[in-house]
Amino acid sequence: MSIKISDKILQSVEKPSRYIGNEWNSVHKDISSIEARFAFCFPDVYEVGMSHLGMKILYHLLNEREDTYCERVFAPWVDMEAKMREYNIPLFSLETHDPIKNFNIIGFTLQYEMSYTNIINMMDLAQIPVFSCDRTKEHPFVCAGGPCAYNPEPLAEFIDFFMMGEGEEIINEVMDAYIDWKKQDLPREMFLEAISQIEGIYVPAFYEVKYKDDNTILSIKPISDKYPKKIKKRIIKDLDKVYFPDKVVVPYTGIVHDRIMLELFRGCTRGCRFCQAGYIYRPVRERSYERLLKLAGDLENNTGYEEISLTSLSTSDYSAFKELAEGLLVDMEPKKVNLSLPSLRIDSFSLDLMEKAQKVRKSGLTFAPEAGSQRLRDVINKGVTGQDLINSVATAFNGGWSSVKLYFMIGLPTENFDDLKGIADLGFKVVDAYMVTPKENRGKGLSIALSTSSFVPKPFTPFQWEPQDEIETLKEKQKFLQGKIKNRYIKYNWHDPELSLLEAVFARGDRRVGKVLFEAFRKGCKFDSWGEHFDFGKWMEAFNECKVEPSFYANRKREFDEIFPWDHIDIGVSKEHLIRENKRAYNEELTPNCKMECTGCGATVFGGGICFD
Amino acid sequence: MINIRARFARGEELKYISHLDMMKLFERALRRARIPIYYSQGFNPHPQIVFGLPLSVGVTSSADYVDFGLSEDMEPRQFVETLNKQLPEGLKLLDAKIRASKSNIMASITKASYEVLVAITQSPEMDEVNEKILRFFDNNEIIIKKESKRKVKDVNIRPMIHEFSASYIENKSINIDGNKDIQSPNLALFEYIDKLKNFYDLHEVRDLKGYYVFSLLLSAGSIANLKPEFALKAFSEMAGFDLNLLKVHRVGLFIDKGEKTLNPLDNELLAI
Repeated sequence: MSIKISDKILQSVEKPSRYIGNEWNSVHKDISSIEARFAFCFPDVYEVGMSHLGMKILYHLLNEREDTYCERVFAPWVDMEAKMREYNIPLFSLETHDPIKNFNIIGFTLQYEMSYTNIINMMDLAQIPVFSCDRTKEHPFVCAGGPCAYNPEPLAEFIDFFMMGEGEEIINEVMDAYIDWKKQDLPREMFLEAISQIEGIYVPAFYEVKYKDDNTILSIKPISDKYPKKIKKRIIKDLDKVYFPDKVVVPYTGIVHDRIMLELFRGCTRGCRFCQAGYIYRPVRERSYERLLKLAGDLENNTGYEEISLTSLSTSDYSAFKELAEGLLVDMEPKKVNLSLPSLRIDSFSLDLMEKAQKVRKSGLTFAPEAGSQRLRDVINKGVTGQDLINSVATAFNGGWSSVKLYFMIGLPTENFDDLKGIADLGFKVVDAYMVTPKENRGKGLSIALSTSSFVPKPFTPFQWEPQDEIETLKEKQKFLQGKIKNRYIKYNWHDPELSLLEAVFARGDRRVGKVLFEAFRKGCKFDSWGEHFDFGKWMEAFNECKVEPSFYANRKREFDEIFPWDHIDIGVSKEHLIRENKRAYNEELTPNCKMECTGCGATVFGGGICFD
Repeated sequence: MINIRARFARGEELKYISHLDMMKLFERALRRARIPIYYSQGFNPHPQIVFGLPLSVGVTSSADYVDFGLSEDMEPRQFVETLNKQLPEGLKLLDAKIRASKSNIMASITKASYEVLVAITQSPEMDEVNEKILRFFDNNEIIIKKESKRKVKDVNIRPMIHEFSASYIENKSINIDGNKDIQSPNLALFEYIDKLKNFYDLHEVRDLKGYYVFSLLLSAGSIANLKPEFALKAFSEMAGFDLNLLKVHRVGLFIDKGEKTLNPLDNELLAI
């Protein structure tokens, strides 16, 4: 590799090591023997993108192929972007520093809605037409996948095709089809034709959306019978057999998650009603702890990392958690490798394990009761009680911990001011639990960080029909809580409700919000999830100019029979199940988790995972 | 604990790595190499790795030094071979010896030498430059403003400048192969000049005539430390030259022992 960015530029920007590449375990190939070049783009800065497990998996998986070279691309920080635009340097990959406009396929991962402007900006910086319809045979194909792809519609005009669900198999099928297409030298559309027959591929140009007078959707239909009416997500049935890299790129500079990430399982048995991840990743599939211990050993050997973390949705629900954790402690202790435990669920909290894993560094503990009252926790099917939390923190305080983070959501369906007050009360009870802990046991300096985010209704959840609170209501609720929480040990943090509004618009948006994204990009919106770059004023101008009403998407209660923009996407979980869950929420009825009882969500169609264990 | 002192070079590929990140890089490479690095006892064990003098971001080096503590015996040569296999491009151990003496490297370093590459757009006037250098050296005091913690302090850097000389490289095609007999530090500069050509058409250096290379020996370490950029800035201000600084390359670190200035791998320093 040669560094093709001059020192004059690199020396003038923050953290130049973001742009140099060549890290340990990064892959280098002879371009002349490659059939297809794939640019894996993460629409955020290096430190964020490099922390993403999905990219690590697919990067190494694609590079296992001799005919394909996958390289990494991140959004340059604003200072670097300015230099690149000044000197007409198109967006480049990290491995070869080649412009990605010369690649064959460009893939974006959609992890959060507020990265959408960065996607458009990156295409523009790459000197690739941002609208799918403007791209010709000389341009790369642009695809996307990841959790936000389950409602692909806001990006339908920018992306040539979406991959639904887990990527390990489908991406290989796409590469095979690409190389076939390339060898036959066919017109551009023929590639999209070919892959539209692969299960899990969605080509938005092959579908037409019609609207009613009231702006809701009349129909979403394929423009020809040859395209599938429903696009079914892909899953990997057996996580022990699927590829997982035994090495990952070790960055030169600190990244957000700078450690080995072990993925224990996919999916979550819990069924919290606000949580999209809990539904889209169904059914739950686990890796065996034997496979995980082997992977951990290999990854450690090949990276030299000093820390391993366990990542999954609700990690302590892992069936063989004890065997895995103890096995890891035995293997890693002599190598001076730390085991970093995720925020364990408060009803399965294991102090003993944390004592062993974290030796003396008593870093903060994180709990997510999500709602302040038992009533509201039942509405969202959280399945934990206030007493569970107090028991957990009391045990932790007795073990010498003194720093606790509590996460809540405001604006949940049916929420009232008593529920809000419950958030403050829970905070006070945690203070009390500390005060009654014997002085000789507890750590010094109690600190409680209490954070509220604002509820964002997400597709494919029982709350997909629910309105989001108006910005003013959210602000009022935050102010109310701020007034209630007057305690020297508790620090209250809240999320920007304006950002939550935009998340709500793009989470449930249809094709018509795409032009707002483009307008916002033209006005300079980017890195919207970075507080210092978020400019709500510009966003509102974009909505006005496009004559799109954000409240139609964010604050409107939907009827059960409304056709949603994502109704042609099939995640396995049925709409009937989500409606049932919605009704149960209003009745404050709990639904047992998948391990206890099957409630017939529909995910059995995949024929794998916990449904059949 | 066995102590090994090693010399390493850092090239272009890794010059943007900060000192803290370099420490982490070594720690991870040692773990991959399964070298029995010694960990400090206590609550938060740290590997025993001590660098001679942090390398600033953007600076390359052909002679930096680092002390390792090992919990088991290892031949220095084997240590170098094993670790080099785990070091990325742009970082290489060149030599290592067992250190029997107690004094750690960080506390001992007193001087550092640098080669600084400067672009010039006017015709070279080596006689004039050399005369200005003599006058620069004749000063009893050279005062620069040094900023630290919101305070600006006057510092006399004259006692920290031990050697200061200049040479000229013409801007014509430089044949690296033909210059093999030149000392290695210069080779790094030649390679760099070669690389710079890729950027001429962009914006790097317009109307380039050639380069000066300034060779400096400056105080370094915990007692007195002078960065080459400051020495050069003071010179250019005094001489009235507009110097376009392109690159700093560290050539050596030194330890003063009595009247002698020794390199850190000198047997005299490693013995008990």
